[in-house]
Amino acid sequence: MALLRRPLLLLLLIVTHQFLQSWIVFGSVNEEGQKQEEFYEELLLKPLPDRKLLTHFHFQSSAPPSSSNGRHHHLFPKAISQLVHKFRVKEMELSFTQGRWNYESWGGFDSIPSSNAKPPGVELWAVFDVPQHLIDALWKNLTHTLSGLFCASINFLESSTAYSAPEWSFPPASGNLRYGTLPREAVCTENLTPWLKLLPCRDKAGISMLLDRPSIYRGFYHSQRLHLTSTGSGSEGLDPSIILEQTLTVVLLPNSQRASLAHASEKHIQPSWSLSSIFGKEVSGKCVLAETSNVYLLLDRGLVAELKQLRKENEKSAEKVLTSENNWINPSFELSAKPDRIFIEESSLLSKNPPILYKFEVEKYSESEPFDLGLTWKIPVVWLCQQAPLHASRFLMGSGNERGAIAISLKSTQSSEGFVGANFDDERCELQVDVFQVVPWYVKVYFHSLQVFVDQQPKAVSDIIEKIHVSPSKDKVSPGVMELVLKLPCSVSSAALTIEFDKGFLHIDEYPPDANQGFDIPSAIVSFPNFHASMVFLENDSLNKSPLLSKFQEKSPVMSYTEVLLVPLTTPDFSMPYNVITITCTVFALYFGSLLNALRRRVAEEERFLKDKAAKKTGRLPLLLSKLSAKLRGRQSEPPHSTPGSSSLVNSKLVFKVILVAGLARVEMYADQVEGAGKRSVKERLNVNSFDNSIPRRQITGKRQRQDEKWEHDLYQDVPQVSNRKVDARDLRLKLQKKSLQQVSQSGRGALLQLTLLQVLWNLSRTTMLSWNILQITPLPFFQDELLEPSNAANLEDKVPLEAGGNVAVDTAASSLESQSDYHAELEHSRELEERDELEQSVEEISGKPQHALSGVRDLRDKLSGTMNPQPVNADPPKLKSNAAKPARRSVAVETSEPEPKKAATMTERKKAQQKADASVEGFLQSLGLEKYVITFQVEEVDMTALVHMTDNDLKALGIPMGPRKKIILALESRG
Amino acid sequence: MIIAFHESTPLVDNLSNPLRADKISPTRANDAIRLPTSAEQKKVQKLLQQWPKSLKLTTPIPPNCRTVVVKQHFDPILNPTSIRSFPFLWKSVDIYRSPLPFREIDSLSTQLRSDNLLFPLHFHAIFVGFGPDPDQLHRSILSEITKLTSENSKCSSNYTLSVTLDLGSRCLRSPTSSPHSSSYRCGSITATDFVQNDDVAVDERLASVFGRKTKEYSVAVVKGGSERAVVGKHRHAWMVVDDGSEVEAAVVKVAELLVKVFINGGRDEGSIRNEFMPVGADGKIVLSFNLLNADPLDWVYDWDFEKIDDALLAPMIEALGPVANISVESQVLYHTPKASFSYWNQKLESYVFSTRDLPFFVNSNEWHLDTSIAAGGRSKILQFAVYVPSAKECPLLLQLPNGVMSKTNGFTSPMWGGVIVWNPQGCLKDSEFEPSAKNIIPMQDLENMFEVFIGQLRQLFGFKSANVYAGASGDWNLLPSERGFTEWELEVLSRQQACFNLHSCATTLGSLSRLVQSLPRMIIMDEIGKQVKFSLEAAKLALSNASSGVYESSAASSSQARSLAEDAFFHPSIMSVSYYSFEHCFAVYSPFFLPVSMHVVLAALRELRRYKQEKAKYLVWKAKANTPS
Repeated sequence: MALLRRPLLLLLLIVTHQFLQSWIVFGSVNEEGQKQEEFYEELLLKPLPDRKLLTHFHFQSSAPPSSSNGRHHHLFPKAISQLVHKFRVKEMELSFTQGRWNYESWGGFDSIPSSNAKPPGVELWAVFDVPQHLIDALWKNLTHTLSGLFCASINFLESSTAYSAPEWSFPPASGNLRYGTLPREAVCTENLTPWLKLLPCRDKAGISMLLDRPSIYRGFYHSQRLHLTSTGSGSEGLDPSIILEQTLTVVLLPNSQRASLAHASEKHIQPSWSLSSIFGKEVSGKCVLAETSNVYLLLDRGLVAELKQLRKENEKSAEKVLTSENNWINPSFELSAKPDRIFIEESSLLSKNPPILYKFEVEKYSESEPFDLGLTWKIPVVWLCQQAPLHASRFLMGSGNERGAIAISLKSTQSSEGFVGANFDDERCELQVDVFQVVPWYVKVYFHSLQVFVDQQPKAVSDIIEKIHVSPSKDKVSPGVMELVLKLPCSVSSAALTIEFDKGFLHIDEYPPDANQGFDIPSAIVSFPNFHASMVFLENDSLNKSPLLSKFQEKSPVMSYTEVLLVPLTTPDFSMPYNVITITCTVFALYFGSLLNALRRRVAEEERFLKDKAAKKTGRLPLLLSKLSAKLRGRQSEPPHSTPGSSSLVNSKLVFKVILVAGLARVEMYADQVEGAGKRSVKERLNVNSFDNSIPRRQITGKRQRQDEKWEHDLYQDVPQVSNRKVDARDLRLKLQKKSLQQVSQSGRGALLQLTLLQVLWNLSRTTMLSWNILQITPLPFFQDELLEPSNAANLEDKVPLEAGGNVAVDTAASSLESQSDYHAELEHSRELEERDELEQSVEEISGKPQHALSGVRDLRDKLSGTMNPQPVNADPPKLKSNAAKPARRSVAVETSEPEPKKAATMTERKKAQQKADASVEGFLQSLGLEKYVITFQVEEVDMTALVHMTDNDLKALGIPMGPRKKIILALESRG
Repeated sequence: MIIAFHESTPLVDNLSNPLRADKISPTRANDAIRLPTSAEQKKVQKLLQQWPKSLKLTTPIPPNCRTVVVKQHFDPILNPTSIRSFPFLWKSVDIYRSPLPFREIDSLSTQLRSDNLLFPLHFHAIFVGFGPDPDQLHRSILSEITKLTSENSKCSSNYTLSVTLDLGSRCLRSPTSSPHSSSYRCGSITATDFVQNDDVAVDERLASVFGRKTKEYSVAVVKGGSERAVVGKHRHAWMVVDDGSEVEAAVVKVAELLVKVFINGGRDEGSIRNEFMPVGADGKIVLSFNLLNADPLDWVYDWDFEKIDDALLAPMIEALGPVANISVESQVLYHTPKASFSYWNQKLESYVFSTRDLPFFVNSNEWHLDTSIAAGGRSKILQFAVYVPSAKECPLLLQLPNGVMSKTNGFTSPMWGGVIVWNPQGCLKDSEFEPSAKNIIPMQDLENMFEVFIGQLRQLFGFKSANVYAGASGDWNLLPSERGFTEWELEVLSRQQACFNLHSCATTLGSLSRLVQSLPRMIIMDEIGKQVKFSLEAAKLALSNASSGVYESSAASSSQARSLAEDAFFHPSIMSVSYYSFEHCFAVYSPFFLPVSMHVVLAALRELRRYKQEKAKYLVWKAKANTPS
């Protein structure tokens, strides 16, 4: 009964004590009544159900206020006192954690997990003793100082996007609190060494000697924590009293060699361990500067219950054996050292199985007799750790890089024991859960989309959420903070909160080095304010108090951290801007280049130049190119016999302008280059065989030397082809040419008919070739007036036989007309003509030697652009006659005679133009190469008769520049 | 683009040749504008329809059309609004640069470089019981002084000298009307004052005679009594010579005193220390005192630092106030073995650590002396450590290079600090005492240690720790001050500090201005401009104070000038990446300008080729044309 009464009293004492004082000063009072600096070192060992071992190092240094102790410290680390003094820190906690606390198997209710289980990475919070407006500046400086002190990137918490100010959900709730986490921070020895530097003995003596780096970092979880509390008046220029608490919590798996050796039944036995086996070191005495130096072994409630159960099976008097001082060797396990004291948890004595604590004083051991606590299990034991009422986990929902949802799920752990401290309302049982969630600004949370599910049933938010505080994130300024108080029914088996978010875009500078890894959403904190984890182990000697046990007595609310979430954000290809710059610049450069080319072009000149080129043999590459272009043009251009209206002309002009400016100029630019280089050599090669002396002459004579060219043109045709493929055709053609030479002298009437025919052909070719018009930048609308309707051509065809007397002449005319139309058909409608057998072949052949077709085309173009030079006509008839010799419209014949009608067409056109040139201003100007002024004359309605009478001054008034003016006058004079 | 119809230009030409449209000059206000006729308008309408689509008519042409507004597609480059917006664009890409007073910075550095910073000093020599010619004495002392002063130092002094012959009843003064020496009353110093052997009393007596206010360095030469030469704590010295001794010897000694002690502070000439002060860039020093218990398992010693701080350090810190802002902190560290071994000397019955190994004494791995959090970024931290050896090496002595044991059992490391080895009583007596019990270092020992520390600090400042100045013409006893530094020493320090600070400020500002001028696209914040301005002002103040002989305030404002200059130079924004490199510019624009330039070059080449061809043709044609005519 006495046992029962005592804890009740104690509970009362503790509760009142806590109301009076938020924390307990452990500073002992020495004889003079002056508090001194003190240092305690302790180690707690606790077997965990999943064969692991929890080791919890606890070091505490305390410095009394400077009013009693002076400004200078003897034990207390100088750095910390300066830090507290400089930044006016009231309370601060910094933790470095690697791994995640396994709440399910390692427990979530004790004071160790609730205060030492930390989120992965760095967590820092601090309460400042200054007015609100100064806090942020102090926080920034504090992060920098801590970053230097602990060799960590804590300074990243400086930016306002990295920290938040929780209002009430974070346990040491206060308006002066700042909270920040760095989930990605890697924790290593570099962080441990400065942490150890704060201990007076570092890792040179005492319990801290066990801190063997490889074994610590091999563990499943380790959390290195620094907590400092300062009280007293910092504002009066005096240093406050500070309590610095340093803990290191490590979960290790003892490696038991025995397990593998032993037989199968022993596999279920918990691994046996000793300090030397898990750390590779032993404790050789305490740190001389420490007040106390203790090692504790804690058997938690579940284990005790299990052990009792096992004992009951074996013996009757189990109760006494476990707790009595002497019988520390019990049948289920064996300790290698005798505990100095055994504590039984006082507050839960009411319940059946209170936790048991074995205390070992390191003081008694020395270098010669080191302390090495070991535990050997004899029988297999299975138990469970005490769980928090709800197990919290968090996950992401949704896919893709645009949006998603965060879900926090709470599952009941079904631990009836956990509800001991629950808040039983009068009416109904309610379970209060506080949730504190910080989301970075680039995760844009829609708070309206908050949904609550209880037992998988959607519930109204207002029913469950009692209190909510939200501070929405500001882009690149502050993170979003969500603080919730949930009231769940006690019978709840599962609850879930979901909230949707959009993923934001970061500035290119803001991406972390490894952006593709994803972005972390810091852990949410789920706390149960009505549940307090506390264990009371009553110590009878007040002089030798243990801060660790006092810590256990503190009523800290049960809290747990959820997982860190990894959100994949759209990460740009960081070389993209440069790629874009390069591509756009290239496109612009291309455009600029073609524009420049188009502006620079002298169309007329080029036409003539092209004509020159066409007259010559082309190389293989230009040959292929022109073949291709011929095909392309054939498909795209309009049918030859349909006359396009003026409007369609204008429309097509626009389309073609685009193609031309961008494409043609580009192609021409390269083609020019290629031709300039390649053609010469081909020509030379050809010319060398026959006429060596012609080469230098060609080089000297310019493009405008018509006579020379003509000569060469003819000559060129007479040169036998070198290519093997066309030898037959050439031969045939040569024969035909010889024949036509004879025929030409025969018919005198043929010449007359020829003229009319030529006119028809000229007009036809014009119609078809109108698409070439757009080559010129200034349109020449006057062409339309003179366009012949296709019916005219048909009429002519009808008329010809009527007029024609001689068969030969008619034949000639018909065949030439046919071949001409064939040519057009083949050129422009290669697709449509496919059904016609005989022409199918001819199409192939035309494409086989496109240089002829092209030359014809270019000739026509030349005509159109008006660069007509007077040409002797007498050279043409023989070639025309060759057509007359052609027997029928057979495909073979077409092949052989193909070049001839075209040539004829060219010549007749020239002749016709010559005739016209005499009659119209336009022709006249064309002959002078001044066709661009045609419009000027047209506007002024100047015809040839008027032009003859125009003086220099008249021309000047028209706005004709000096050069053209002189040309015109000279030409007029010569005519006159 | 606006096409206007001028009286002079024919309407038709304007529109019929759009390629030449840009040749048309815009309408001027006083140009006579011709209204187009209806026929012309019709033509315009017709022509405009024939224009390429890229030239769009925005409005139908009214009958009395004056101007035709033509919108062109590729217009924006030529658009006058875009041209007008260029200043805004320029402004938006412009980088803010706070104007810095470059000229003033240059003038400051040239001023410091060209004419050395001159500190006015006044010497007063009083000869009691000597011959009757003060002018000759004046001349001879001056000539001796000029012999001794070297002009190579950056800061020299601009001294004046007055000589007084005290004949008891009357005085003979050398510059008869010197404003400085007039304060001395004749007959106030007599030979009898110096009979007693108590130097401190004499010093006080002289101090009362000369008065503490006067800013002059006085030396009294007295005949009779035992021969002595003492430099006091204030600004005066005295010398007692034999009755029969020559005045010339006294003159040489006085001149040496004035130059070597009062001007140079009794330090070695030309050593680096002269210009190298252990003061941080912000004019602060942090004295960090550490008590190192090598092995707390043997014994743990603690100290009562509080008392020592109040008793010994506080007056010294106050005295050094004008030179540096000093703060003190302390800590006790444990488990701090030294890095090197000592050997057992049987004769001395102690462990001996030789000078050779001193560089390895400080164990930076185990001694976590720490940079202080309280100290600012640019403060100078001087570490002073008391090393308590472990029982294994207990009486630990330091050996000087000449084999003698060090009396102070300590050493200094320039710019770092000093170490003293303190052997606890226990190990000397071989007596049994409680291990691990907390012991306190006895106060007497602690005081001795801190006296040594003060001596070490003096050494770090470049002064001699010995109380004797050994000159070429004889020794001078230096009276030690209870504050660690005597008044004249502090003035030497102030002068030196002012000189060093001003030069460093000028070089810092100079390099800042060079940096700023060399990077035309670097952002310069207003704060930097302000700092530079204040720094220049402080430097000017320091210069004017120096020339008027107020050394303390000169040193204070010069250190302010230096720290401001350093602040400006190390401003975080200067180091920021925000300045725009031209290489980056090149990398961004070259993908455009390289291909474009290729086009331009090709076009130019082609035009050139064409021009040549045409020219050749023209020449041929000309030749042809000439021949027939």
